[in-house]
Amino acid sequence: MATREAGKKMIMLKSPDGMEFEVEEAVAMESQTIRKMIEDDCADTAILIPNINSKILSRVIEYCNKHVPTTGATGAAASDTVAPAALAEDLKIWDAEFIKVNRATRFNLIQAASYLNIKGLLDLTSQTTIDTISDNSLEEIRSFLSTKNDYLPEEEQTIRRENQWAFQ
Amino acid sequence: MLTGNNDMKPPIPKRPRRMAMSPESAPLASGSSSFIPDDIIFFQILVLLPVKSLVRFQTVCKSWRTTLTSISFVRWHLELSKRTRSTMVLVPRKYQEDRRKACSRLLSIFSFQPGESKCAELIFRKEFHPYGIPVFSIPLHCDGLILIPCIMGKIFICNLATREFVELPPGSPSVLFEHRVAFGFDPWSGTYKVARHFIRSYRDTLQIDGEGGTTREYSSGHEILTFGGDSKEEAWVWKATVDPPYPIKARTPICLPGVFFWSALKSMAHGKVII
Repeated sequence: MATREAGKKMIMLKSPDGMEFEVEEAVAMESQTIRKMIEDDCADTAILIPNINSKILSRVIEYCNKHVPTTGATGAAASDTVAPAALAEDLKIWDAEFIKVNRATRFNLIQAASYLNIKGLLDLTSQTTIDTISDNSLEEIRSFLSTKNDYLPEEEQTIRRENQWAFQ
Repeated sequence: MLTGNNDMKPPIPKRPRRMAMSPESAPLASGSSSFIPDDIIFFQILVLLPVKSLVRFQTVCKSWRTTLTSISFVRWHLELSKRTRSTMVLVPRKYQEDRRKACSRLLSIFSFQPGESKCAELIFRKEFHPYGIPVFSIPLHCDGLILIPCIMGKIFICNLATREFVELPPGSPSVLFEHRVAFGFDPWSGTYKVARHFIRSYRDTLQIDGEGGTTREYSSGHEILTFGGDSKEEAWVWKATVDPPYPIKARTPICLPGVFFWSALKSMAHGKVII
């Protein structure tokens, strides 16, 4: 564990492609998975984050940095002067910008948010995915999630007939 | 693994699905695999969709259908919907001035979202000829399911989200039309229960005081039908319980989770049936 100025506890995160990221403990603890590791004293050396490459990990850290509760010395200067509602609004706009990524990146972020257990990021990525698929055709959904249609035509017709209202 | 921050999150015993790499993901895939486990796809993402989309998505593939119609998915979807949307269901009944008309022939169900709209929206309408909904019983509601007891002992259940409308299997015959029905969710077994009171037979005896009055003695029964649980064999079958000590009044029972309260005909005491 590294320490830096102002006595802030720093945590070293390592991606499988060999990059190391030094982040404040409070930021890293936005991830419930890492929080648990720290609480169980498993974070003395660098924490290896499997399956999440440096590009995605850096984006996840960017998200956590923005979303870490701003208190005292660690807080951004803005939090003292801006009302909480405005801050939330600001965060929403920031989130909307943050999630403007291609589909593969978003899937990687979902996977990362799920592994690291970061509720806010998981909700953001899930909701964005929903917004893109809810109006899509079934064929688009299949290609989107790489699923093959294994119904016989008559089987599919039966389901459609039984649930006609949903297909109108 | 994902632990979630919600205790209600049901376990999902699905294997993870490996996602195919799309060309655009290839450059950043070094040391990383791009797949999302099924429990994330279903229980985090798809569960946010409205029922109409989910009904359509049953036709994506067979395994989707299995998961989307599974009890754990449906309950989780219901749980989330309860938290995010509040919808009132209205089943208006027409007042019959003509006392000979013992039942109404039309069922209309409206939904109303307080705060979002000023008028209720008609979501379901069904003609009940030749059965009719008796004036003495009110359709019962639980988790978006409406139970409609009809005259002649028929009982229907309507799922408002999927528009499914099913008739329950017939229960034990009742010599009087006035069978009573209770409906609710049993949190202990995780199933829906329909309880039914019926009159097996009755006997009129002349009173001894010579006034010519008669007293009527009933032999009444009580049975329960279960659905919505894991066990397929036990579902949709009427099972007799202990006979109630008194016949039950023509009054809609009070249905609370796990308990129905019946009003008895002869006693001031309220009947209670634990399901």
